[in-house]
Amino acid sequence: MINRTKFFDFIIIFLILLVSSCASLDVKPIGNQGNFIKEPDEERIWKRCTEEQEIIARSGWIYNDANLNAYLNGLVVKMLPEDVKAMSSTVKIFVIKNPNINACMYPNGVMYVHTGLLANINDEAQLVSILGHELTHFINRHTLKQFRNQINKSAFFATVSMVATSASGLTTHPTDFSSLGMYSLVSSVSGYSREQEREADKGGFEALLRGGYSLPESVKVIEIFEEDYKDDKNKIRVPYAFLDHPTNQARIKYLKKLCKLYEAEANDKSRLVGEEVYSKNTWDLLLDNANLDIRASRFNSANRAIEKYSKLSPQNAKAYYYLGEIFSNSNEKDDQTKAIENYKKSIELNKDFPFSHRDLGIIYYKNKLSDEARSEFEKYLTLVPDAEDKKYIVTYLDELKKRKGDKE
Amino acid sequence: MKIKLLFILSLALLVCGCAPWQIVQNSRQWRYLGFEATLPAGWMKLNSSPDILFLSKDGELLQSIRIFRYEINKKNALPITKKIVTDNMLPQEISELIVNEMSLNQNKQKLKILENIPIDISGENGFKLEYVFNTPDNLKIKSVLYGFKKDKFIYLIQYQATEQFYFDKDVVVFDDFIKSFKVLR
Repeated sequence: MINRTKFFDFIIIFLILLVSSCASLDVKPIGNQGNFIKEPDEERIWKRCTEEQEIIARSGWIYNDANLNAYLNGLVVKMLPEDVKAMSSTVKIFVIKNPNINACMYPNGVMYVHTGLLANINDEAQLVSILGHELTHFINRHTLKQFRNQINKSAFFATVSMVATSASGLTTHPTDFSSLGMYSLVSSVSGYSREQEREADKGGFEALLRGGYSLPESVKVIEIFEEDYKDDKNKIRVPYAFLDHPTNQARIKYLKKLCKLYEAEANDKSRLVGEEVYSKNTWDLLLDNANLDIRASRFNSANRAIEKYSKLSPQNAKAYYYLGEIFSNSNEKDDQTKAIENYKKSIELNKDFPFSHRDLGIIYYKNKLSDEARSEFEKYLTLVPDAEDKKYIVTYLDELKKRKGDKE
Repeated sequence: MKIKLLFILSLALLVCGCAPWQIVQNSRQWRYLGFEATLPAGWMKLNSSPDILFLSKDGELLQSIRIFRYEINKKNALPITKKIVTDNMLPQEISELIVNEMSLNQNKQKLKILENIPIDISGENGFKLEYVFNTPDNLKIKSVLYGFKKDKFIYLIQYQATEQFYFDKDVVVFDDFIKSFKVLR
């Protein structure tokens, strides 16, 4: 039984410990404070980020396309609110070779955008909406807030644990509080909070508003995420960085609400969509990402990218080759016939496109169509005499010769 | 007294037999699942490995020889690309699936395929892949991977070591291991 005086003692100790251990959550956005000066804990976070970014830089994952990089980095600098313009040299975008739809912002202003995201969205307004979302995380210093929040959480549970320990009269006590504290800390270590994500969605919307872009595009881009998520054949789940986001449905509802608040602007058809400028800058990326999609069994996403590419360049041998690859890889019924059709179409458009000859040859070879296979393999080796897989092709040709000999 | 001695002896045998790492004394003949090979003397064999065979001399991060397998027609055998190895695939197609799987693996940075060729492994049509990659800690690893199809599985025999010092030092041992490897019929 604890007496009254002792009880108040505990309360006072608890409050003193709690208050003294709390890191300030009053973090002002970058633009609101004149010259931006990092706080000591923020300095450490930025340093850690730079170390991680060095690893990414040498990983070989960066997609190098000078025009695309110039376009993205030019756009993001243009998008910065007036009071953050001074940070324009800090904000940088890199494109990562990854077919999954994702983007992430580091607290030091470095943003990574997946090729999969760029291939799946349709115009500059959608891009601005995403970049605006990510920039909000940076400008509003969400990571610092999250970091301090987590420290406070663990400090809170440490305090509770200390008080609980002293209340029980034991010097060492395996309290449930400390394990609860640890659990809570672990469960919250990832991404931003839902409130911060909502704030970022609002930031993306405001970027559209400021830049004169079409507001309903903010909704359409989330609908694209939702479609990709639902698409079982893409065989992925929600990307890791989006796990803490509100559900796509909730985001769509919120953005629609914002569109209603700005009804006049949302209905203004003269506002910029920027489909053409976006297509021009991401055109080359479409087929590169389709190739990554095929490798990752995201066949529907690959198909969509090829369709988009074909609208701009309808008679492209490489696009038909990738369509052939989709059918050849998907192991569905009748797909082999479709693969053959597309490889043939690719050859029809460019008889010197080597890989369609090779892959057509492989299908013929496996189906014991020896003459057809031989002809395609020979064409392939004529076009690429030093092909990396020459030894395989020579083996197939030897085997075909043997088959012919056996027949005779 | 006799019972006590017998008990201690069997306990000692049990403990020795359960050791996770076991040194290969002399060059020992190994037979398992219809395969045969000569294990290199002085190397350590990991008894608790999920692989069919796992050997190392100086530590698994420095160099290793592994034999492992993927089940044909099994979903998620290749967890990153989610591709399925099917019965009618040629060795070249299987090697490309494995290359794809590795190229999307974020722990294998700067992956570079040095060689991808068809080979005959003890009468089975197969492939040989040679590649290098960097770990996230920027350690350069070199690997040789032999693969072939048998019954319901794709069998893979791999030698992997740090490129600096260890790969060249022990690749001869692996070459001897491969030469001794036989598919028993």
